[in-house]
Amino acid sequence: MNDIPQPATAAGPSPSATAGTSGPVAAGGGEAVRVEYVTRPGLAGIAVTNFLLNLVTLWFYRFWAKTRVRRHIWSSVHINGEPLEYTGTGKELFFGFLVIMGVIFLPLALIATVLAIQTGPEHPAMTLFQIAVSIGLLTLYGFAIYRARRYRLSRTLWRGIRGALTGSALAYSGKYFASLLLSPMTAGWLRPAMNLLLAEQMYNDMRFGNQPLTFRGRAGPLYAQYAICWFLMAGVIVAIAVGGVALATSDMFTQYADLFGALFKGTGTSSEAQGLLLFVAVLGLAALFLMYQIFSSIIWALYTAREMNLFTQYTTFPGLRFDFSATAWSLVALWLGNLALIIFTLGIAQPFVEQRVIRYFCDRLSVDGLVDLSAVKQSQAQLDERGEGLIDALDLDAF
Amino acid sequence: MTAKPNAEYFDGGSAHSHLAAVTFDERNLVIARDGEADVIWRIDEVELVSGGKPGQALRLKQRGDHGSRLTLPEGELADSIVGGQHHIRHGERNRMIRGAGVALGTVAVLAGLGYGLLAVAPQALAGLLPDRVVDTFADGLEQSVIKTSKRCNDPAGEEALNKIARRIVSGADNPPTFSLRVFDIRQAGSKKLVNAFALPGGRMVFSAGLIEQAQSADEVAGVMAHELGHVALKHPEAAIVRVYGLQMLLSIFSAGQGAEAISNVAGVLAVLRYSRAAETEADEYAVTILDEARVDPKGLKTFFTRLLRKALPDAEKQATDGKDAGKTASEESSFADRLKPLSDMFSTHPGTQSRIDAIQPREGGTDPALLTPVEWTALKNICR
Repeated sequence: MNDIPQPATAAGPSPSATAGTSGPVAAGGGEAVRVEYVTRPGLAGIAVTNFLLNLVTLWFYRFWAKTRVRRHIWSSVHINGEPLEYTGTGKELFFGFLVIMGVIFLPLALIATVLAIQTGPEHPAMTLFQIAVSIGLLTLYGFAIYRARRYRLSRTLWRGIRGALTGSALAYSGKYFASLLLSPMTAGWLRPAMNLLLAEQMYNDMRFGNQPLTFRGRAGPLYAQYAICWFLMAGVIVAIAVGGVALATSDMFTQYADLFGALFKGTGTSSEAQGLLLFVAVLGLAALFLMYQIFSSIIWALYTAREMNLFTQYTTFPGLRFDFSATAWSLVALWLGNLALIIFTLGIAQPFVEQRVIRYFCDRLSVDGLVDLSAVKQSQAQLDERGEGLIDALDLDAF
Repeated sequence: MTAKPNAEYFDGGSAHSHLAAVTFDERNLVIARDGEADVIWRIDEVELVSGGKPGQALRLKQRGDHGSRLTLPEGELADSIVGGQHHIRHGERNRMIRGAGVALGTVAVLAGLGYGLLAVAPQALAGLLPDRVVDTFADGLEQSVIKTSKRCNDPAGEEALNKIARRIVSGADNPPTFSLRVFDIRQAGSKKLVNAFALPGGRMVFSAGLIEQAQSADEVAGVMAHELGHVALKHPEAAIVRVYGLQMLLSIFSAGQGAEAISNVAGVLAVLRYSRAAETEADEYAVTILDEARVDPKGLKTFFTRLLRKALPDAEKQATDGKDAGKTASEESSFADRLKPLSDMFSTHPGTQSRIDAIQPREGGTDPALLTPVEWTALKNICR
């Protein structure tokens, strides 16, 4: 969950859930749809070999590593008994990376270097350039997310039919940038509305073959839950502020202030007692930060669960309605489990994190209604020749 | 359809499931359906989608096909296809090997580029930098080194310094143009810095601390000849190219943000920290021109030795233990240098101990003397 910046979570379930919107053809009518994650052995071996090869190749193997993990996980998602298939290749991701390096990052590096040569170091023009680049990259975030989703859908196959994303990445990018600006400017109060706006485009643009998903709904029902979370969050921040003030006026703090003051002036005489004091201070700050992270995750999980459920209910496919049963606690458990997996295996278990997320979606997605698969024809959307260079370069998404 | 259906086929046009009768003749898979033309897949273009192990259905596709799929139930036919076809059985392993190969190749290419950019290109391109670029860069560096330090320019002192400079230059075949100024540069805690800098464009800067520490004109001459070596060999200009090369490498991976690396003072000082090889070259240059100018290179040696003992109290003890111990001391000093950006001479002049050992005194010493006692006193008072 925390792999993706906030508004992206609004984009909702994974590609596998998208393809889960149809079922086998039954003569003279529709068929019910059931999505299940069938856990298969083999992922541990993939995780370990991927990690070793990544290590040896300074992570340039990651494109093939990701592909192998996706092939495994996709084929574990069964819809009415037929597995999904991931048809992407490491080569496509690698070329995506090379193209983005060549088209965006290499020219930027050249411009930066020429500028530095022209103006010399420590020139305001350099700072201006860097700010411009940072803002420019922010406008690309939405573009990167949309294009990555498009690539993945186009490489997801079920019963010989591909997924697709047929809208404008530029429009999505604009909305995403607006949400990045407006959500903080309104102290977060515009976030549900912006998330809805983003989800609206993302879901309405999705296709299984030639059949569209439809997303209809309003942001209003999100706000009760959002208000609860917002005020809980405010309470946590106030508590931290009060604690901070109390600490700042205590004796212990003056002791620390002297210590740090001495350290910065370089006149400090280092003693073991001071070293210990410093260690305790750093440990305390780290613990405080972790506590804050955990509290805020639990609080926002309350909202995220509501949003996921609602957005899923807003989505339909010809003949089908969807429901999702996310709960705050299950999301927190998912998140904490993922965090523990990453920390205790030094990231080797990353594929299991992805598996857990996809399995979460499969387990909690339910599909109502009957679908007429004879009406589903192959997607005519053009296939990207490469994929995900931007999202990889911007480091937005671990999948 | 003549044969009994034994497989499920998706034609890639619709989600409809077709029953198919599949036959395999060691070269082609023939997929037959009622009322449709046969579909023929060449076996060497067939790839495994999933399955193929005992207890699993076998799913196949044609290479590069983003639609049609064939599912065979577990059984004799599936076994004969998988068993006889190496490329189907080992598809996943082959993909892994190809991917790792491309990834390793990429690393090799980048390593080559990085080496070229940082190790070979700088010295080769140093002479090609336009003066304007060198000056702009030197201005920035100078600012970082001098900051608000007071210029030491007592006329008699400067004249003494110039006299030494003229004498050294007389020993060089093709001396570079350079300027030399003294500044009262202080470290944090207003401790006097003892260092000399060769900035790009032949701008040489001595700290007042260095003049203070020097015990003879020979020592000042030695340091000056050494810095002149850097100037003549264009080490500062090579450093500029190296910095821009490094900056470009960093920016590629950080979208133009790497430029920051040299915009701060620490980065700028890293520029002036030459390699041991460059220091040795500058020493050799210094010894040659000093010899030619009839100045004893021992001054360089005694100056560095005294500084080294000050910087590393242990060095004195180790120096008496012989050469190996001396080497250890210099290794240690260079490691410590990386931690403190600008502390003393050794932060920008690595490998001191081994270099000191290499300098041989001149037979007959300095002849005639560089300065008169009056001039020497004037030089010592240059900051007055």
